[in-house]
Amino acid sequence: MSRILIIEDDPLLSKMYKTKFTSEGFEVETAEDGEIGLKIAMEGKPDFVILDIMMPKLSGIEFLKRLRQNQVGADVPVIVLSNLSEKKEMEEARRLGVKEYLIKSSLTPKDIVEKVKEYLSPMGYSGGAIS
Amino acid sequence: MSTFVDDKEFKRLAVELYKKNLDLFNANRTLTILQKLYQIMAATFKMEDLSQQYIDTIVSDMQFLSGAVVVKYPEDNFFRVVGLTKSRPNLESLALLGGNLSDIKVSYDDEKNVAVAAYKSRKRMYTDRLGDVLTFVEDANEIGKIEKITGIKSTVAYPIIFGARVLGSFLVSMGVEEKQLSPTDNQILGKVATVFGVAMDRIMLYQNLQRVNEKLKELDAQKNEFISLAAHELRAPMTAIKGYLSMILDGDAGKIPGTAIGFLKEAVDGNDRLIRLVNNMLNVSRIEEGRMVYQMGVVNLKQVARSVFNEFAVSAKDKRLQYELEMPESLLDLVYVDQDRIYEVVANLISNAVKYTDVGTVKVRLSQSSPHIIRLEVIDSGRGISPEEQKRIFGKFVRLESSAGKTVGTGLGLYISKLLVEKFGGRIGVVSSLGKGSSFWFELPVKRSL
Ligand SMILES: Nc1ncnc2c1ncn2[C@@H]1O[C@H](COP(=O)(O)OP(=O)(O)O)[C@@H](O)[C@H]1O
Ligand SMILES: [Mg+2]
Repeated sequence: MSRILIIEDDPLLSKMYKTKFTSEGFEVETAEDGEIGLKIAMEGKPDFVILDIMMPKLSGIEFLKRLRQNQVGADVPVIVLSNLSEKKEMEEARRLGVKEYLIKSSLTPKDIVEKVKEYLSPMGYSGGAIS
Repeated sequence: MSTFVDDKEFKRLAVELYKKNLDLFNANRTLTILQKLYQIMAATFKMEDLSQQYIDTIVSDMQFLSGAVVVKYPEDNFFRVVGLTKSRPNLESLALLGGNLSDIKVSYDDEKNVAVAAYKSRKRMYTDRLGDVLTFVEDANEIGKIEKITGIKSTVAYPIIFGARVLGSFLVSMGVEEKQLSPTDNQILGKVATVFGVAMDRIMLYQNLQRVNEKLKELDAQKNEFISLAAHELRAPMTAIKGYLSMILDGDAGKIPGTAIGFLKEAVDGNDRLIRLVNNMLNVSRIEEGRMVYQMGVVNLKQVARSVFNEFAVSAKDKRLQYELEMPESLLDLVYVDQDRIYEVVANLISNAVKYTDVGTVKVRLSQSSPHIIRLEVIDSGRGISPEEQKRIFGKFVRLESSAGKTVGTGLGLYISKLLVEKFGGRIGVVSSLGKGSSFWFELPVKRSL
């Protein structure tokens, strides 16, 4: 069973993604800001991280920077799931090695679960890599 | 036969000629100075610049010793010096008084002051005492010194009037008594005062306009910020609604009856519309503020046109429209744009044509009048757009009355399209007349090679 960490400050969305991932057989942990997210990620390395960008305390970008600095988190796969589609954040996230930068409002929970499953499948992701 | 003129007649004619010549000379002098003043007016937008240049022109063209301009702004009760002849004696005198022109204030109640008197009476005023000009100088000795330095014997003050309002006064000083001023000089000064009024009013209007403009810009920025903030806040709950509805539709909550599925799909559509609206609003501020991410690349416009055309084929068919795509094979159609964004532009135009046309045809046409430019047109047989409406239609949030109640939309499609096309170095427009359909078009520069 894959362990997934959802870092999302909006409780409504966090609960929804947790429900969906749980029903799809994932073991889910949630964090309501980047700081808590970082702590959980460091304690027990998750198989996958779903990361929001605009969050209190520690933004998604700051989270990524600290995660990548640490050996434990250097290669944890991350998908950014944000409603923020600003050039600056997108480029930074890409530089920090995220798998994808997805826009929340254009995807359903099912779409997201499918993305994650593809990355976790032993064959690897079959779609095109992002540059 | 020759004309013979006797001596007396000759003298008379000579005097006549001299007088006429003098008149002409004076008229010429008047015209020259007025023309200079008009030229200054056209090129000047600051009160101090205008006043200084005006008083310099008057003093040097009419050979006065010195001149000054004072203005009374509505905000307070003082006259301020906005122009003063920068002659050596004047500068010396100014140094004597502390050196700073902007420190000189004359109270509105100081009616002994010749400039204030002219302002209040709206009449030309004069004085042979410098003390009536420098009423703000308390020490009589100082005034005496300044009299010596400057050689000023008399000063004439004119009110600067525009319409019903008095804006200030200007003064000219000379080394002789006031009564030695010639009638022509007085005439010229009267005309100068009139031009001064027009020019000063223009500057005050301009200053007001700038203030209002600044205020408006501030308000607009505040409004944009509010829209962005509201839009951001709306997205999370809308995403949740979309998510839960999709989970129910996917069967995550168990089996649901067919009618419920129908209702839920309607709810999904409504919510998607909201999401589009909010995204559009955010995109607008992103484009306007230059924060948009453009993935520029060489794009095949024919391919874009074809795929957008296909996307709307179903809705065109639903409305029983004749739906056509005209695309000559030989086109040079490579353009340097952001593919998704140009797709958005074409989609806006085609979706409008289909949305706002009830019967007849919608035709998408690519053409080329020169090898450097490619043109895409979306031609419909809808209600058409009047010339007045055409002027507004590419504006932000503009929807025409005819469509406001009947169709759904945000009035942002054409606005965004215009911003984008212009960003990509192209032009966008519409050709239409009421009742005769519309043709929305855009043109982009052709990229010749990769
Ligand atoms: N092809 C067309 N025929 C007639 N009216 C049109 C057409 N395209 C646009 N309009 C008018 O221009 C307005 C602005 O269009 P647009 O910016 O796309 O906003 P929206 O379609 O969301 O209202 C529309 O509301 C409609 O009144
Ligand atoms: Mg539209």
